[in-house]
Amino acid sequence: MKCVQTIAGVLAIVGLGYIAGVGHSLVRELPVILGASASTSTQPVPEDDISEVDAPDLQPDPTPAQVDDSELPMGGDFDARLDAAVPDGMLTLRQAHQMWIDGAYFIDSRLQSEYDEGHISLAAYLTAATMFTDEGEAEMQSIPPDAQVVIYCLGGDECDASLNTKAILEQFGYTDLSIMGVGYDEWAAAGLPTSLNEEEGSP
Amino acid sequence: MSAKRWVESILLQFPMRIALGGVFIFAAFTKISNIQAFAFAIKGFKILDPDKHGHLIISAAYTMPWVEMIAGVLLVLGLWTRAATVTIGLMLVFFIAALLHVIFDPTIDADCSCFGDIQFKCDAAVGWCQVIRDVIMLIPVGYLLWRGGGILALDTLRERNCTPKDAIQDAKPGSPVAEDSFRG
Repeated sequence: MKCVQTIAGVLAIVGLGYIAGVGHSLVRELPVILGASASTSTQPVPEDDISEVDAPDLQPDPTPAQVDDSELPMGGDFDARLDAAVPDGMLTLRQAHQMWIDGAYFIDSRLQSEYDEGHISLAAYLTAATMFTDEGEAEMQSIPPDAQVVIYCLGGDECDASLNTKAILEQFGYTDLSIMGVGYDEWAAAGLPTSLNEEEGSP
Repeated sequence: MSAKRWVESILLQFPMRIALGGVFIFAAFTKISNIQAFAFAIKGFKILDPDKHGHLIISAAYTMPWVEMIAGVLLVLGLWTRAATVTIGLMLVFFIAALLHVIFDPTIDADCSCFGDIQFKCDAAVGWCQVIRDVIMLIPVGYLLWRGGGILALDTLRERNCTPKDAIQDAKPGSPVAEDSFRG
């Protein structure tokens, strides 16, 4: 008898949870979205495509951490890093770096601990988990909705975090969003500008 | 009621209920405050294909935190203690299975999101730490299932007022209540 009562109780709790969840979904302003999943297919992007990257209308001033291309290490290996294959529709390292020079906003969507250990210079920290917090809202307010934004995480097929962040930013009206196909490690390994200082993160 | 049962209730059952229920209430609160991030976390576990079963992921994202919340509150109150404990136990078993699925599949790189974006004793990335944490939480689940919620639970108060034995004592001889109770 006790066993039957317990099972009935479990079902009642699950049922109440479901009803509460339905009610929650009705009062929530924004619908929950799942966005796209990271693609594992990789396509090298021809160098000509870099010309398609437009300079943003509204630019932050990234000059303090900016490095000139002439200061970067040169050579075949370096070029190979910049043009390494990325999933379809994502930016190569070369394209992303060009956009960084042009003043695009960069958003780091990895774990907070990974961001604290090092991130692309001037990149803000914003993920699906932090976007609805006070800090996340403050970061979003510092980025105009029509600004050019590049989102990055670990890169490759482990880049769901960037896709999730992009999907939510689209909900908030951001129109010019790109994802860097390679991860932060590739950016740092290529000798491109990085930062450890969290305060520097917001463009 | 014996002194032994009081001691057991005060030293074991009551603290276990508060701790386990409190952890689940806290976990539920962090998820309810950001359902979107929790939906992404479920998707990241790659148990369900988001293209085919996206609706189930979204349903789970809305339902699971509320089930956690209700079970946690009931456990803290000591109301429907066994049902709440079984619910929490089943959820823990499911969480452990999901964590093992991620750990043993090297192609999946997921964040736990067990407590939203707050790391409770473990890193955000899924690993053995979370499995051990959930297994540890199964210990009070087992104990509460075995021994019940204890004297300091609303269940005890409810049972004291509603048991057939009490009803028999309260009822006058020959009344329908007493007759029914004797028939079982």
